[in-house]
Amino acid sequence: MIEYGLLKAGGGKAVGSLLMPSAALVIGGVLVWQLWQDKKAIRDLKQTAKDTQQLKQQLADLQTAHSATVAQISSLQTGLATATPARAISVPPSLTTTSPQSTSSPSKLAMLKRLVEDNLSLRKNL
Amino acid sequence: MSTIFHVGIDLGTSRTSIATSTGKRLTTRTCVGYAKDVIAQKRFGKPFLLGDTALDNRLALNMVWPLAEGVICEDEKALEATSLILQNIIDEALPEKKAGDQIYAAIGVPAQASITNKKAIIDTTRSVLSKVLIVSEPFSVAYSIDRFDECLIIDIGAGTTDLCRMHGAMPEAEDQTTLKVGGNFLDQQITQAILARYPDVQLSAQIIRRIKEKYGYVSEKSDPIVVTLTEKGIPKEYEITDILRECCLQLTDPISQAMQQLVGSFDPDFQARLRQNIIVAGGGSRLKGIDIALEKSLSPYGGGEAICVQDAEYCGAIGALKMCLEMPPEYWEQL
Ligand SMILES: Nc1ncnc2c1ncn2[C@@H]1O[C@H](COP(=O)(O)OP(=O)(O)OP(=O)(O)O)[C@@H](O)[C@H]1O
Ligand SMILES: [Mg+2]
Repeated sequence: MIEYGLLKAGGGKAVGSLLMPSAALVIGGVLVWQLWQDKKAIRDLKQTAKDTQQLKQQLADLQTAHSATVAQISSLQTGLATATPARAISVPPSLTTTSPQSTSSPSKLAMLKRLVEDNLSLRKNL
Repeated sequence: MSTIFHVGIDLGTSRTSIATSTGKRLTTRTCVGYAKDVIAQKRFGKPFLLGDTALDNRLALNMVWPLAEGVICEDEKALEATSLILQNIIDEALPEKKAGDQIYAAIGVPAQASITNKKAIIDTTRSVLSKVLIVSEPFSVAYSIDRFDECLIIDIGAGTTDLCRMHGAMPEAEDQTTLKVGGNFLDQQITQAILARYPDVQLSAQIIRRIKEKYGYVSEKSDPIVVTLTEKGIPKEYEITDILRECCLQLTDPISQAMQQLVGSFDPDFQARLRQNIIVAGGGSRLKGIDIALEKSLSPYGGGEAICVQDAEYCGAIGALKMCLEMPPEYWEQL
């Protein structure tokens, strides 16, 4: 590795110069410290890559689960449209007329009158 | 010249539907979602969303189902929400309405709605509606199919099931029963039963409702029912044939009992006619085999005939509209 090479080169220089042993010691120390820092950075980088990989996997799993649920819901929905009972009573066609037409049936009139009375007594209590 | 529009509304626990004299029909979920925070409010551009749109964005909203208990919950928020829902569905159904036009409405409410409740509805709609008539929901179902003679209406809704005996006149209190069970109760039963058998399975209210609506049945037999559910996100198949039937029976058993009670306490000369004319309405009438199951439960009494309404979603609103249209103007004037 480059860092290692640098250390070696720096070290050689320091050994060659007996005049400045303390300076060599400081430089050596700095280089060792830097090497250690770089190693740590690489370790961190490797860990981050691993984490990212794991997250990607989790995301893929979630996507699978999500599409399964979506498929499940839509398969249920297609069934809904067809769910009408076999025997059924329908609203009479007379109802397609939407304009007001007062009823002339005495029994209906009696019921509507009663309904209005009930509603009036409801308002009295307001 | 000002126009008078007529509308029939079915104000239900889970759905609100409208039918208008202009031939429009609309339905929406009976819910309002209020933005949870400023960010949500910014995103939606308003403080609340309504109906299905609210449901779709529910994670960012505080949901209010004002009729959750089958009647308007008596608090400010629920009243406000009810009024928002009604105003909105009316506006959407009548886009042609101009200032000065009038709306006459009949609103179907659960049979057991309290006087306070009915008044609250009149109050909250005063600004939108010129005339309001409050009617009981089973009566509007009867009106929609023109059945006022001896028959028994069974309206299986989300919050409650209303049973109402018709005998040619306005039904009285003794003709009606409201059971506190309906589609929501069934959803709870199914959730509990599935979790009891498969504890790790992931369920949501939507999934349960869809399973119920697609597969729910009370017939004697059924093809095996296998649904795909997830466990920690992994899809798997689960067999729920028996679970589903047992749960559905927990809904239909009390309905059968209430039906027997209303038939048994009727004028004996007319009991047979009542038994032969059982009419099942509401979303719950879609449960497979429910007509046959109700008929079977009447066999000790001499048998009966049950039939489901075709237009379960709108028949309440249609009946209410029909009432509006057939009501003489002098009756409206009294209101
Ligand atoms: N195919 C189906 N099988 C079983 N249940 C169904 C089916 N379709 C709809 N439902 C249920 O019916 C209920 C809704 O019925 P409906 O619209 O009549 O209720 P609602 O009028 O809003 O309620 P309520 O009458 O209690 O106020 C829901 O619980 C829904 O899940
Ligand atoms: Mg209803």
